Amino acid sequence: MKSSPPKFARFLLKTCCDARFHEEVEGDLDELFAHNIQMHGPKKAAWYYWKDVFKHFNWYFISRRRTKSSSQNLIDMWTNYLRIAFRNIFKNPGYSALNMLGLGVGMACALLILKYSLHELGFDKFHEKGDRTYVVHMQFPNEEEIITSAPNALVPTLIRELPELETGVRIFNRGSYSPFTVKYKENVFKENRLFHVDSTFFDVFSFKLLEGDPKRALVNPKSIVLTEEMAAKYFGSEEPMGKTLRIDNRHDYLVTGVIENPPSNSHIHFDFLVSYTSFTNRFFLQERWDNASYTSYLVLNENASASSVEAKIPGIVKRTSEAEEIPRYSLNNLFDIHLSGVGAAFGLEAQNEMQYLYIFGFIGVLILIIASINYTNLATARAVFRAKEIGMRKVLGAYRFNLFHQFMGESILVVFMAFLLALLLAVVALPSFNQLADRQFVIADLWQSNVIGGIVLVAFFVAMLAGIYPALVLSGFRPITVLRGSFKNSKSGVVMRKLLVTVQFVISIALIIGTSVVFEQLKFMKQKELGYNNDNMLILPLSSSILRNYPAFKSEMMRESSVLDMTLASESPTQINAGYSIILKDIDEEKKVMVAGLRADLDFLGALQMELVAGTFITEADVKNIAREIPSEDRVFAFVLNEEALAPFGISPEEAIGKRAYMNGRNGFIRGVVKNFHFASMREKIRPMAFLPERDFNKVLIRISGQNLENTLSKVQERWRRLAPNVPFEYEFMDLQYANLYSSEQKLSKLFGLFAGLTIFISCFGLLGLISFTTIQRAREIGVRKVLGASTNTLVLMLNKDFSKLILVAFLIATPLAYLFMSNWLAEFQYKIGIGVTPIILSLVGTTLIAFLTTSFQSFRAASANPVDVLKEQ
Amino acid sequence: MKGTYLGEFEEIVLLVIGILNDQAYGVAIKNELEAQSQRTISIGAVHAATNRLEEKGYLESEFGDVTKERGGKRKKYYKVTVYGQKALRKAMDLRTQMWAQIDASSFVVKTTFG
Repeated sequence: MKSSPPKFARFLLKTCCDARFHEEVEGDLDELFAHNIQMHGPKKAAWYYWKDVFKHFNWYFISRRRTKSSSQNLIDMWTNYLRIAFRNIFKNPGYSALNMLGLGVGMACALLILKYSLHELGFDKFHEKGDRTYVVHMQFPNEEEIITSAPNALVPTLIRELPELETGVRIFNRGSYSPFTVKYKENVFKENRLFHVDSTFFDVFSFKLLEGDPKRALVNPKSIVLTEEMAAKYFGSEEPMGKTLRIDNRHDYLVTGVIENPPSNSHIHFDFLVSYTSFTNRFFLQERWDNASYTSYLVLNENASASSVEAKIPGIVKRTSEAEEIPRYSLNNLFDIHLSGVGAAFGLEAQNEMQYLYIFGFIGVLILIIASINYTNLATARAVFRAKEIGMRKVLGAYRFNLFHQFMGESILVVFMAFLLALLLAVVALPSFNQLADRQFVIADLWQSNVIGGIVLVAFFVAMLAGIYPALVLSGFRPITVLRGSFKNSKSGVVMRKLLVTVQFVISIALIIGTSVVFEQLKFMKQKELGYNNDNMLILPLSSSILRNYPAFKSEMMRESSVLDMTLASESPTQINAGYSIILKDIDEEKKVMVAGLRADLDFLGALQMELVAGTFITEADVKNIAREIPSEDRVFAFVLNEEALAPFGISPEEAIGKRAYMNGRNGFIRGVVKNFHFASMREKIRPMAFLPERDFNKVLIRISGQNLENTLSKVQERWRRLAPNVPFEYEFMDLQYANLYSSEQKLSKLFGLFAGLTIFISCFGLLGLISFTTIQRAREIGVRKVLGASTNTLVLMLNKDFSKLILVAFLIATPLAYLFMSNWLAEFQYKIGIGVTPIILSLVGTTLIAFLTTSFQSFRAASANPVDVLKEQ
Repeated sequence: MKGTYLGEFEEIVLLVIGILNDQAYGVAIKNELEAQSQRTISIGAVHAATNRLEEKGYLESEFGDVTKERGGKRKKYYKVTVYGQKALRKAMDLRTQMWAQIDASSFVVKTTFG
């Protein structure tokens, strides 16, 4: 039978209870415990013991301890602590600088990361009704794709039918696939971000109107509201209100409002808002269910629930639309759009992912841990130098408690100084950080109370984390051992320090492996054969004026020697996403396959250097077969599919040629099959796609010669200006457009690179500090070895060996961790690299080399010192 | 002065220490208190009270000898000081004086059984 009280409870009592009361309390508790064991058995007795221990934790027993030892001289003592702390800092300026630089860099990172995270979490939060604003998405039964917009009938119908709705707004953005030409006097620009919106726009969103009446600004047809930025671009210093802008060289719009530039953390970024009533085409004005191009927002009443509204939508839609196939409509809260990646739609900002915030935050914590470890390590390594002071203080009556306070205070002081440094570093690093994170923060953004408050909290936490171990160790020295003069750092202290250094290097090595994997994957995606050539390919908007005499335009353009090729398409290949479905009646009456569609000119394949697998591309004759003069039911469409589109039907390209095909109301046949090509990111599998024969194009694609690019571009521009004076020469490079698909991977690789560099940098500070103290401690040993004939080289190797072992251990731990983590990340890609040995070897060699260089300087100095200098003292 | 005030619990602790005479240490006080008042009292409360009373000067204490019981921890014996005795008497006087002033007819103590 266990007959002694719970050990831990006893320990707690001993540490917390004042010494004067301790004996009495513990004696009484033990007696009661013995009694309770007899009465109630050991379990209950232990329970009572615990209870009694806690009952002694009152203000009375704990507060006693202070009053006796230090009351009047509290201030004097703290002044003394502070003085000693400063003396210690300035006595070893190098060591202190290392320490503070490490902590400062760590906290500066934390500050920037904090700012970024708060910014991201604050997305769209400025909309007052945001918590009850929802964007409507739709999804057709049996289809995977979620459409982030809705028919234009949806919002008005629902507002009429559902009393739960306060208001709603539709946003139509044509600009993304055919920009507007906006003109005021001689200022003409192509504009993408011109949205048609309902007059309720300002009821739903809290964008600030600087001029104009939010209730009336978007009511009348041909009203336009523009941002400050656009006002300056078109009107300069002129007053924009009441002026007119000419759009598409046809309609005049009256400026009825100027709006503050949307904040950077808004998911909607626009330049112009045009009243919905400005549409002239019945297609837009009528409420119809056969479209889905309107990003639709609903604002619910305070107490309405989104799920109940969601549940009522199908019934209403069924009644009003009379369609056979009703999509599922879902409501997604405005606040979730940015971070959860639900996505708004059609050129309303690409979404960030929560994942990146986690990675950011996680790395921030890692860096802080590394910096704190530096402090802990250096402080305990230096304990030898403080031992006499501690012993003396204890002899003179200091309690452990006082010394603990003193050392915690020191760590707070150092962290505070590092904190000031961090503020400075953050300000200096802000521009590069902006570039990295693709944000536009200004210095004032850092002084917001939530950012500063957060970082002060972080600093406090770091001070505690870094200071607690040294304070515990240092305050625990026994005066008799340290004052006898033979004090050496304890074995457990050395082990602890080695452990901490290992942790640092585990983190660093893991980050290096991560970085190189991300880099490799990025390189792989950029270098992989796309299946077409996108080098030096310009993408330009097409206007009807060019299209009217395109053959002449093309031959004129081709006369310029640097124009190598030219073709037309509905979209650039990176933006093929229109959803069609195809049925091959000869193979399967029922089977419907979703395909992406691209309308392209006859010479498209040649111009993009794509490969045909079977059949031919769309021919002149095919185009004639669908001419306007032919009644629509007699038109025969020729389709060219990619291999992937055939896969679900299980036929070979040769078999497919000539098979009847049906595609969204088009009857036709398969004319040819092209080799699969990457039109989307390599995260996704190549999707089924089809070329359509209709001549309805939006883009001109021009391949120019890559030599002397700038010169070539200006020559092409000149010719373009001459031939199409009304169409601005606003080009995009196809390869850059494609690379943009990887902007988040690019961002990640930069981030990883930077942080891996920083962790290694800070870890090396720690290492440098440690090695310098080791060499001082072992100075005599080195001297003796030298006298006995050891060479400088062997001594350097001996000193470095310790650290090399740690790095090896760290490497063994870090590799599987990083491997696991990165395989997970790679799993998101359909086309990916395997994690080879290269990143692993790279990280090992890299870290070892850097660590070796760091330590060698110190160890070399120690090893080459004259033994006389170190040995003469005794 | 705050020190002259005697709380109810403090008062009975003092009385119990008086009853126990020279055998008044923590556990004994707790047991006697429980026996007298018919309620459960935690040792923590006893310690808090005895220490506070000692600080006020109502109690004095001395450690007993080291024995094998209690893991070699000494018992701390309490004794009521003269000052403590005075305070107790004062508290009692105050009560009797006040009881005497209560009109017996207006203050019927109901003693109903069953």
